[in-house]
Amino acid sequence: MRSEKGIKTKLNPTDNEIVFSLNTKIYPQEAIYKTCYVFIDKMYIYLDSPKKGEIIASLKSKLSGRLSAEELEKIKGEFLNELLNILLRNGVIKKNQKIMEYIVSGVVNASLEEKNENKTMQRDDEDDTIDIEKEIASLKEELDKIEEKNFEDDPLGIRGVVNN
Amino acid sequence: METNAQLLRFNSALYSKESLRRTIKEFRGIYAPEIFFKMTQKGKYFEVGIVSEKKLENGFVEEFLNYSLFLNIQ
Repeated sequence: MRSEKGIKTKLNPTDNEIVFSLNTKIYPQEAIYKTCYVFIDKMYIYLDSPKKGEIIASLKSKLSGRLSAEELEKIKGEFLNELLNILLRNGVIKKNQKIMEYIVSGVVNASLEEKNENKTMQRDDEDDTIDIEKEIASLKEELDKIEEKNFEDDPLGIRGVVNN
Repeated sequence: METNAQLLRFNSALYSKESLRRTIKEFRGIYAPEIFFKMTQKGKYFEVGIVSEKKLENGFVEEFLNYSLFLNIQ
């Protein structure tokens, strides 16, 4: 494997393959996995770790035509760039994790409080409805009692008002 | 009868047994009984033996590798 800027690389143009090693102290395994996920649609990827602290990545193009050495190097470059991108993103997420947790928990608590308020309002409305229904029921009872009586009995005391 | 055999080695630090098992299950479902799969462990590597009655189609091994990696990443 030839070494360039500390990354050992091996080209296999017959198989459209490029193999290079990555130092896991700089590029953690998790970041390499995430990068592989981005490339898995376009490339066939195989990983190995013959010794501790090193991961060997083999990238083979899915394209049928033969790729030149430059094109294979370009693929490796894109992979390394994406790896850096993911590392940076992971770093930012880690740095802002606590803040994000506070924001999310604040939003969740606020929505829970809103739900409880709506439930309380709903309960008040339901209570009012029950009260109104009770009122209607008692008025109906009164009406029934009045209708049972003969008008000559003057249940509402109208005669007294009229005579006076 | 022409048979083809392939031996694939997967580093246990990078590929979990479960992901390989699921990959074998998936491929078995598609290619059995023409293609036979067997997994063993040898030191820090899982070895997957693939035996086929016919020549394996182009990209078969690569697809197997990719799917194993995909399941491992998930």
